[in-house]
Amino acid sequence: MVEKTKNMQQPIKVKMSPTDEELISRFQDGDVYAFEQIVHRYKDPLVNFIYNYLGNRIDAEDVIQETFLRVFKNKHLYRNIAKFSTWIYTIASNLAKTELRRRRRRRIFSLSQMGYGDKDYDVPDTLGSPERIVGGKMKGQMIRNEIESLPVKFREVVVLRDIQEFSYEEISKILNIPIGTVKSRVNRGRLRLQKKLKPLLDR
Amino acid sequence: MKPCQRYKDSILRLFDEELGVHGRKELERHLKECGHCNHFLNQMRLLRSHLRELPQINASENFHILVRERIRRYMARKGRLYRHGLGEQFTKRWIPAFGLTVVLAVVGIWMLDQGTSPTNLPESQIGKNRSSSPFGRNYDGQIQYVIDDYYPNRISVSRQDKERQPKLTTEDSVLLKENLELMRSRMTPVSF
Repeated sequence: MVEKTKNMQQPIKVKMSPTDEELISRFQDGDVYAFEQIVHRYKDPLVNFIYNYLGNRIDAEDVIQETFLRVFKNKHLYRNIAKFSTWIYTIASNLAKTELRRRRRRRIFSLSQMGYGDKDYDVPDTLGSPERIVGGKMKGQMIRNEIESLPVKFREVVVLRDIQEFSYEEISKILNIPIGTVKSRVNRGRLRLQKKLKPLLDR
Repeated sequence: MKPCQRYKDSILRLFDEELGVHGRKELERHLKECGHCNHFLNQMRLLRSHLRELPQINASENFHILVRERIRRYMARKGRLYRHGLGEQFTKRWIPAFGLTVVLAVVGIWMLDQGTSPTNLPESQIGKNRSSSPFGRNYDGQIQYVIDDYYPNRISVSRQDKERQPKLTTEDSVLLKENLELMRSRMTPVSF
């Protein structure tokens, strides 16, 4: 029997990357490396999400660093009944809202909010003519500016649905609002964007 | 609702794949005839693709280091609190707070004892206080009796005495009855 098993071909081990829930569970058990993996996995999508929310990269990174610190501090509060992504996005969006309120109170006027060309963001390296790259950059910036000009309640759902591609149910959990409200806000946000971006869309 | 508005809603639902077969067919029929809705559909399609193709913002290269630094600062703060903070907090905050509470409590008890104790009030004042009822007379038709004199002469029979000498003399019982009579006579009806 032993020989038989020895002779049998060893099954190929497929190394599956651990799920978010597994990672946070390991982190709850004291594995700090799991936390590092969470940071690595979520830093870009979260910065992207919050950048669309706040329109400022430095603030977005600051909010996301604070989000990871909150996850670190309150890891014991996460229960495996909800998706980890929902939990971390909820923390990030709450912190972003707090940041927006703080801005409103202090009436911070950022120079980067002045014009289209003043913002910094990374464009992925894509092959194409300089004109195309510049055109794409301008187009992207126009869209970002219009998203930023939307009221927060529309902005957050449009970003989560059409950019981050979350399901309505997930958005409902992240923002703690009913699914029906999410749907109506997404549609109203899209219509507002369509009206604002008419010149771009008519080209 | 304008006729096209209904189809606009259908177009939006189409993007979320929430439009049924019947609704889809109806929309297709309408789109063949209505250029305006066709234009709207194309614009929404374009908007959706633009939103999906928006350049991704990546976190800066030193993001990990900044997160670690923030956590390190938090841990240091927490450690400091545990190592020194609790002792310091105790001496700097808790002891003065406790002392202040004790002083306030003593002063409060003393003031109560001195100023507002009912035994120190003059007799006229006690009467005044009792008669002034906020509800006026015959409130709810209930009449209660208040004893004018708190301490009539009474026989004090302690438990020990009772155990040693369990019987009362006839004199004592007469005195007790008299006291009861006295108490009843001093009870005045008060309505409130």
